[in-house]
Amino acid sequence: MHLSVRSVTKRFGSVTALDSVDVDVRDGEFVCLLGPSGCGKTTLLRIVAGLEDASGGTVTLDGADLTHTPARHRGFGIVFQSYSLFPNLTAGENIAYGLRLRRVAAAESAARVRTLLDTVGLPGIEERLPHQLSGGQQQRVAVARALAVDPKLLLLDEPLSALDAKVRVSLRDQIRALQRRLGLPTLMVTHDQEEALAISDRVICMNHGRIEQADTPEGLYMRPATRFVAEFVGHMNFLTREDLGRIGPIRLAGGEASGTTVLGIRPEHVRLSPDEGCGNVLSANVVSRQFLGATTRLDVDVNGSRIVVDAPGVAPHVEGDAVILALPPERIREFPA
Amino acid sequence: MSRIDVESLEKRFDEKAVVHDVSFSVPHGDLCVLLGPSGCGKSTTLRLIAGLEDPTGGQISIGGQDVTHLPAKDRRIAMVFQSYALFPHLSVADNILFGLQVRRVAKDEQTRRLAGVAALTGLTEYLGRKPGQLSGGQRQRVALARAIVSEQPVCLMDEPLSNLDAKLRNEMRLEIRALQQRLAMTMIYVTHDQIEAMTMADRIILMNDGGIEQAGSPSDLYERPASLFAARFIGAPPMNMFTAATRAGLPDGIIVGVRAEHVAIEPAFGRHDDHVVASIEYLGADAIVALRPLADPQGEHVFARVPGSRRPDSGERVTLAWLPHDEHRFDAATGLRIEGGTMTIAPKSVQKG
Amino acid sequence: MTSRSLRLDADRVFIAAIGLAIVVLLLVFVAWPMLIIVGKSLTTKTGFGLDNYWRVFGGRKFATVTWNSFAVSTTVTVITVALAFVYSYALTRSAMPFKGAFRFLATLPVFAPSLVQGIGLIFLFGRNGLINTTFDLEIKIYGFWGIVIANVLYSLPQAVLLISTALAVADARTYEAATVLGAGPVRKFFDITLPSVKFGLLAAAFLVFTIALTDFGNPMVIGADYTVLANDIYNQVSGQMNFQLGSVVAIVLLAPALLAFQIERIANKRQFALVADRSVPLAPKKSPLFDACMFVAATLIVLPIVAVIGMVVYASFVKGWPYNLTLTLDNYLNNTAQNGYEPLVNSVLVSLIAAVIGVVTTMAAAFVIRRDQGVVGRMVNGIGLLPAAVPGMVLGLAYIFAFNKATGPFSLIYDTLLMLALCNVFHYFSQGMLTASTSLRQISSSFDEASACLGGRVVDTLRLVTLPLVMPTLLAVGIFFFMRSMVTLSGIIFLVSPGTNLAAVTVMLLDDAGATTHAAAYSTLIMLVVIGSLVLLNLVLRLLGKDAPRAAI
Repeated sequence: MHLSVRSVTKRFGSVTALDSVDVDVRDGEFVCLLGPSGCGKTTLLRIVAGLEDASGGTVTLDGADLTHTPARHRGFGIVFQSYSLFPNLTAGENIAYGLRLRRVAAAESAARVRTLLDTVGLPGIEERLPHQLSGGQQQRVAVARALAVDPKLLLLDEPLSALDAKVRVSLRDQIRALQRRLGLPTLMVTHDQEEALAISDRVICMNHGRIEQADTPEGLYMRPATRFVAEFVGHMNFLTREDLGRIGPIRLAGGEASGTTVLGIRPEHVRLSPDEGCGNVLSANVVSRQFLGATTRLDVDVNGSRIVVDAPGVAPHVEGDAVILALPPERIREFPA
Repeated sequence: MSRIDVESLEKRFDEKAVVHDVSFSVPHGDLCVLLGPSGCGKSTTLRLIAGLEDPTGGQISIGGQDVTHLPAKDRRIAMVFQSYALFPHLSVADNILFGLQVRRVAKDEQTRRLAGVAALTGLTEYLGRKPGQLSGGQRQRVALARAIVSEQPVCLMDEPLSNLDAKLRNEMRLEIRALQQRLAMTMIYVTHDQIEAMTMADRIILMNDGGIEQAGSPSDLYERPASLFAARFIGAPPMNMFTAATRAGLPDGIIVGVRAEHVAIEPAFGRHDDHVVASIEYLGADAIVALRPLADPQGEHVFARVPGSRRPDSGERVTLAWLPHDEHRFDAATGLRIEGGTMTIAPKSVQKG
Repeated sequence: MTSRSLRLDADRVFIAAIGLAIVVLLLVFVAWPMLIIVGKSLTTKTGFGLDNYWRVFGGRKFATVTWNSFAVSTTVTVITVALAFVYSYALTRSAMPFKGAFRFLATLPVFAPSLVQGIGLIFLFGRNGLINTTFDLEIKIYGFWGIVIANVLYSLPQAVLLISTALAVADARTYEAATVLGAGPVRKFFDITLPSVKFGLLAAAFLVFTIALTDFGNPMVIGADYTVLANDIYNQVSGQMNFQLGSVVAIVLLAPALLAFQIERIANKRQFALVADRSVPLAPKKSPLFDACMFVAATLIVLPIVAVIGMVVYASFVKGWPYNLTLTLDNYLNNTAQNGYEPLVNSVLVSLIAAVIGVVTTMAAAFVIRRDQGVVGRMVNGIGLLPAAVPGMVLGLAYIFAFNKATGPFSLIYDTLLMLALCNVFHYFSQGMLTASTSLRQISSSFDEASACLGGRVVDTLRLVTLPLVMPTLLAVGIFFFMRSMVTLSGIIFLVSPGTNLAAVTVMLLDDAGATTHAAAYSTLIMLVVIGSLVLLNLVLRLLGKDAPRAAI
């Protein structure tokens, strides 16, 4: 199984929502489309599903052109943000809906529904109506409904963003475990970078209808290709030429920073109270302190430039403390100004 | 001064007590967060303090004055709602000035305060717009501006950030905290998000089932959770819990908790390999590793937090280790924290090494 | 609420006082007259008893009339709901052109008294109708089918309104989920569309049934010898002055109307429980073949409505129907048979009074329901819904017994336009109150709370927040009362006197007297006044820069 999207473009009137986008989802792979709202990620997913027509480009599955195949003949499974269960059908009937369309025998269908409800961790709720279920439960039924027909590809459109924080994380883990176990190729849309990193094999970071970077979660986080990616995924301190003027020269792994680029370093890579021999040692003052549980986030001031530092555990520093910090050269990345 | 005292507060809806025996105090200028899962009674408590609901019992005083039976309009409070509750037909300026207009504050005073608040919240350019023409974050600022322009000593906030997306939420919580400190407001802030509570609060009141589970500073709650509920509610992933059934060497009736960042994983050597890496959740700066007991494939996962760049591979066999002073111990019967005691149940590998 | 309200501040007293005032009004103008009509039906020459009932039930005619009423109503219901569904489907689910025009044309019958359908049908298909004379046919429109067709045309707008509202709330994602699972258009129609509107259909069916059962104008005009219950009441009371028997028949009519009303309410509630809050609205996509089919179907359905009303307008300019089709303004200029245009002026006055009183009372009732969750609020809600179950004729008859006295406390309103206006207000009170309530409910309760936290009293909130936000609804409710008062016949038929005659009654009297072209002219003028007032209001609103309210029909 290999889904391949080539040069897909979508225009709404004079607005270009997608500008010649290429995406691949390989067998068993979990791919995320990540980006801010309006970046075109949802439109792309809907084009893959067949719910929207592309203005140009092709969608193929194992070499077969799907571009003009209607959604109902594509054999995919889809889960929406809004649950979208049929309100008049019970959970069991919802899950069996696709099976009914495929004329699967009643006994076989009932057995399949039972297995699926076990799989999503909701055994025995066949008879409940959607409005009797919580948001998280409804979404799990929606996942089971999408899986019931043995889809060739699973499409997830912000499936977690309507849920609250705790439920979101636990359902995220469940979806991921399920996907790995079934080896089901999956394409998910999200605007939550943490979700994308946590769940995917590969993340496609989009902005303004174009792909900024397609990489593994680690690649995206450790080697952001553009300033947009660095800013959108995780937190990044940026040092401009003006900042360098204030805090002094900064050494990079390959020599001194020229000042024609913007430097970036992640908060957890800034070292507090560094050992002897570290490069780029700076003295700073703590401006504010946020306790985050596993880490403490310090906002420090270096001659008028702000740097955010994440220290493990409960950092002893309080507002106004003077601290020494170091920016390890090998951790600093350069971006075009 | 505007301290808030809540004494034995109780609220029943049709015989069901949604808030019972809630007592706490917020000193002047403090930011107190009411934290808890949905349905725990935190919003009702806030609405009782605001005067939007009548308590069935107990007493509320603001600045030393008993306000229990005072209507909301006379309590000298400002409130920010989850839905913002901006008046859709009024401009941003009129929304902000609403409270001053109904309280008949002089016109030039209104103008002066509006300018000040608009500058403070970055809304100067938007004063002529209607709420419908603003983004979510801007609406949130208008709601905030409307609350602070009244210069009431007490500000109540009901999940004010839950309609914003993650990035914006992070920015706004810093802004709100900074404003609260700058204006020395006494603030009660309701949220279900433990990160929000940890980062903003001087003091957190953790609620469960209509009552107070634990009250204390953010680090108190994180480092010395008073109950199993507090231990599992605060921190992500939730604290790992071990019992005699899941870990040899533990006495009966005791549950031991260890936070994910205190669980060290070491490559296994020979007979000590007791866990297998089931899955890894990469979060950038760090990663959460889910570990499955080798002996029991159905057993509960143990979570460990490791630096994102130094994570094991899926399927790798490992040994768990942690320091004795990172253990939290709870009475299995009552769910309450057991203080003191030096007995350690840390894994053998650590004791030997 | 189990918790005692501990606070008794000025705001709560204010709300409770308004609530009690509304309750008193409803008791005096709805409950009291209804009690009296029940009493009347039990009053016999020898005292109290069921004698009147036995006499009515025992009569040979009664069984026939009851059967007639149910036969007509059932037939009308089946046809109307089917047509209204197709029409609504075209309006909401297709991308056919001219939807705005279709929406407007389907509301035309609401702008005229119900008997206009009957009059128009006779111009078309009657003995001297256009069709029969032109093609030399002998189509017989009088009787059962005449009443049925007239009532279908008359009740279609209200059914379309209910069903298209139900069809308009649809979650696009549900359809997409079904599509991806492999469902074709037919499956989606039966699996998603039909179940989602079944309560809307049910509500529409009962509403249409009630309209057909209690309509009085069309059977009068086109029924000939085919008598239904509504006519029977009129004959008993106006013809034979037999008030006791009239009240018995009225109570017989009340029973099914009450039942239908209850079922409609339950159906309405269930309908809205199905709408999820995170759904994405469905927008119909272009599909040339389907859109063309829907366009043709909608045209075929709306054509008779337009034709019938068009005939009335046409006939109003004709010298002598059907033999002298010369065009003339004579019907307008010399329309003196029934006090000229005095009834029309009366109607406008009554409608204006009803609009003002209706807006004030229904908004006050809705406000109390919204703000008082205690006993007073529930009482207003409960009693305020009662009038919806009372057919206009029954209320009118009850008003004769209760208020038509030249002495006593009600002598002040006896035989005045105010009395007629009050009858209309309370006849349509429930619908007005429901519209106002719905609109108030859409205003988030946190506005009230935000205002209170900012220091606003209830009057501040009302003045600065609530009233500006409900202004469009206020106007919509006003138009509703105005329109209904202009065209209603059944409520006021027993209450008018030569001095207080109204336009709709005049149409009936002119038609009865054989002055059909004059009746047509009078009907046309009523429609002009109603449509004109709508246009005027829209102009005013546009000048003020506000959105036009959707008229509640």
